[in-house]
Amino acid sequence: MPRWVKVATQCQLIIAASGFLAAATAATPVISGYETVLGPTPINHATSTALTGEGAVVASLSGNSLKITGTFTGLSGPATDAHVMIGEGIGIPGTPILDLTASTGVNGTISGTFNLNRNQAQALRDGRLYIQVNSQKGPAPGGNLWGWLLPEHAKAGQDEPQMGSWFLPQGEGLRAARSGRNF
Amino acid sequence: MKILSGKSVSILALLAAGAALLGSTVLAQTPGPFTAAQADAGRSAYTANCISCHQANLGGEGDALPLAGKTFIAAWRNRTTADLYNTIRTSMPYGNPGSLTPATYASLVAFILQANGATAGSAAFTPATAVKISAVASGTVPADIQRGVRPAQTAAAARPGRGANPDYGGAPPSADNGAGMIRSFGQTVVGDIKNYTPVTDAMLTNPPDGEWLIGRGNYAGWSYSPLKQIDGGNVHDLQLQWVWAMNEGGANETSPIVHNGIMFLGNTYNTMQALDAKTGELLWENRVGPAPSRPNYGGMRSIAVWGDKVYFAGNDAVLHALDAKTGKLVWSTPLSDVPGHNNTSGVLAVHGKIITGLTGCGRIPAKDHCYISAYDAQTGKQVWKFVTVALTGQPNGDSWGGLPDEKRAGAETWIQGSYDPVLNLTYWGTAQAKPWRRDLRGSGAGATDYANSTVALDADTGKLKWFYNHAPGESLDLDEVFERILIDHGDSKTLMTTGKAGILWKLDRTTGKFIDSRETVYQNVMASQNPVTGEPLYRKTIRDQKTDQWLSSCPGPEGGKDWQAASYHQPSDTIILPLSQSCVLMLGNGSQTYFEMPGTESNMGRLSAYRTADMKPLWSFQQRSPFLTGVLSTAGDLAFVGDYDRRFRAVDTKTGKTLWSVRLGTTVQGYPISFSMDGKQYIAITTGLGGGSPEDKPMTMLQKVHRPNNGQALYVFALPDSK
Repeated sequence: MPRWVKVATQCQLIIAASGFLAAATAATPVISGYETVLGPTPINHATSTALTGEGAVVASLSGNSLKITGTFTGLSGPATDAHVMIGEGIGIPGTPILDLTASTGVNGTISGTFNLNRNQAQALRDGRLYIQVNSQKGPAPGGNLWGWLLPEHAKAGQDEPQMGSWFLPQGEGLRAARSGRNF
Repeated sequence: MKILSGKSVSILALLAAGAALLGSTVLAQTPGPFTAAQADAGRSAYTANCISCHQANLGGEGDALPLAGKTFIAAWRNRTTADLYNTIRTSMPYGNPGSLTPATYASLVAFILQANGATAGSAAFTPATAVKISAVASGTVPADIQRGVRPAQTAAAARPGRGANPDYGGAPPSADNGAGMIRSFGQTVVGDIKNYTPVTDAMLTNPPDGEWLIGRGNYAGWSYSPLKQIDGGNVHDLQLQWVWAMNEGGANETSPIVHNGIMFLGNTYNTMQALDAKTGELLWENRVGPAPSRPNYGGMRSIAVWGDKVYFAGNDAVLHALDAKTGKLVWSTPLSDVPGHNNTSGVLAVHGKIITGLTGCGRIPAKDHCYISAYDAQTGKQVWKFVTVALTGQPNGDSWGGLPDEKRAGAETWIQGSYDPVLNLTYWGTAQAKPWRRDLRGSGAGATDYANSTVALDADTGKLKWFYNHAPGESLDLDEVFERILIDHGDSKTLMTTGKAGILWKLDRTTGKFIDSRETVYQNVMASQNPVTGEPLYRKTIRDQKTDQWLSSCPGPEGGKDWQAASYHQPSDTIILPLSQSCVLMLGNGSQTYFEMPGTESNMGRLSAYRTADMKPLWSFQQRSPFLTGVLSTAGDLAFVGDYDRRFRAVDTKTGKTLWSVRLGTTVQGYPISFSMDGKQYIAITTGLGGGSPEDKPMTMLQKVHRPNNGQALYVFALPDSK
């Protein structure tokens, strides 16, 4: 193959790839804002009165830099530590990967800024990262509070209807899978 | 004998725990931290308080987890006896936790340890005794317990035998299980209704607007009333007309029927009542009985009328026909003679036949399998029976991974089916195979047909026309058993249903072919779906599940969607779904813990509307408490629904906006209905307690929501009389 043909082909591939990426970017907007509501970690009849508390966390992604801030209240015991955790999927618990700074009271704040590696960034986009606050009454590994980091979304108050569409973490989920993935 | 101090016991516990590291042969010899007297007392306490749910061999059934054997030990081997004590004390007896004495709870722990191979020692068990369970128990069940411990004879158990017996309720046997207010059975008030008009097939096919003749309002299962006197402009004027206190105890999930101005009410304790629908006056009452064998379980979800009789299936799996005018028992027929079989689906009257389901079919060996069956409405004689498990040699009989027939359990039918008079097909949902986890079931990747399926049966013969399995190889207690709603779009005859996974399905009800589906809540159990057949595939960690691993399930056994029926608002082609949002972690089949569903902002309840033609989302709202009633929609463009937190409300079917609400005595639970008399429209709804996961999960998770543990009642609302 003549060299110019190779160069032209490479250029075409680059242009085509750029176009594909541009189209992909246009089709899939980059999400930079994430959030979660913290609730008690798994409870049963025996632990439902012992594991209490709630909280809220927001996170912003700029490039690879993830900044996390949040608050919690009403823990069953003073907080001891908090972490960003990674699991197999949304709602599937896993293991700690990043340490957050946490107040040591039953009410307090958590925060942290991290440079995510490629896998961690993908996990964030997939909804596989979550926040865990541990306390004296709810120590690791189970912890006291959990909340999955999901894209910022429109919310409504109690009893307030949302029209047309509303947030579900899986998006189109199986509908998308039916058209896109192999079975 | 020297009683060991708590410290000594702790040291023993540490020694025992250390020994656990050395080998199981030695472990089996380590005495348990309880005395023989405690274990004996625990056996008696077990038969008095636990046996009806957890079974005589401690094998468990359904929501009642196994308390002995490999499944139990897999879940509990790494936890302590103190954990077991606290779990039992804070959760049992079901519906009334903490009601036994500390000594009784301690004795129950001793008995459970003994039932798992532990031997009695010299130290008494105390709530503080914290010994690692694998250090003293192996999961080997002693032979006498494998055969089953014997309960004390109760009056309820000693009731007259089953059978087609016209005198069944004539001589009221006494029954006092201490669980409620009913102390005796039999007919207490004999009716003398003069103006009763027999219910015909034509009436059931096209119910008069002002009547409510079928559990879900019509054969198509719409839960829709064509009445429109109450609408968005006046609903805020709704007033209580009358209230009727219902029996305390039992699970109240009832759905009244109204005909000729008479309301027939299936009350708990297998009691049937007739009330003047306008005034609430009692016309007759027959406490057919018996008391429920599982307190807080066994809701009677539907009753039927046909001709001059009222029909209901008791929790004990006996079908009854009562004279609609007097309440006298006409005939009774056992649906099954297998211990443990019961009925909660209620009944459906079709062309002179009473069609009903069966549940409690989880025991292995399966002496008889679950089935849908039909009975002659005049005589009670069985007309046909369709077994909901595909057996060896039958079509799809190879879908159980080679399991012998006696190990093919489950596939219960615990919700009333629907009926298409044109196709003459009756549609029923089935529950999953049992045990629900495939690793324990032994069926491998088999689909376990006809479990968790829609089955379409010829209403005259019971012959299977088609089936569709919504969750092949189900593995997480996610039933697909709920109501089947029949909707036409031009020539397109469809069927819609939603299971615990929260997937709204649309099928062609003539052929059973998949048309479409949509997720209504967050779910992480199904990873993909065949684009042509709609067959879903569980995520890999569920397919490869191991008994000793914690598995996440969103939704958990509360559903997504549960027995609370959706409504089809026909004028706007809108289906309105009462949904729940919670997740669980499961350890084998022996332990569950619950957590908030991601993305829900701590809201367990969701009410959502979709256009059925294209499954387009229309509106949705969330709230802290889940909805524990079905939805009733009306031609007044209103949808009525009630919740765990005692709130009964009307929302605009076009927007979901709440237009009216009222707080009732306790959890609003049951199926709302609407009827009219003398030109006045009424809305009726019950409050109720009892039931499985839909009650248990909010009781555990909603730490700031409190409701009374009594107050079962029927409330009737209407607009004030015009001046």
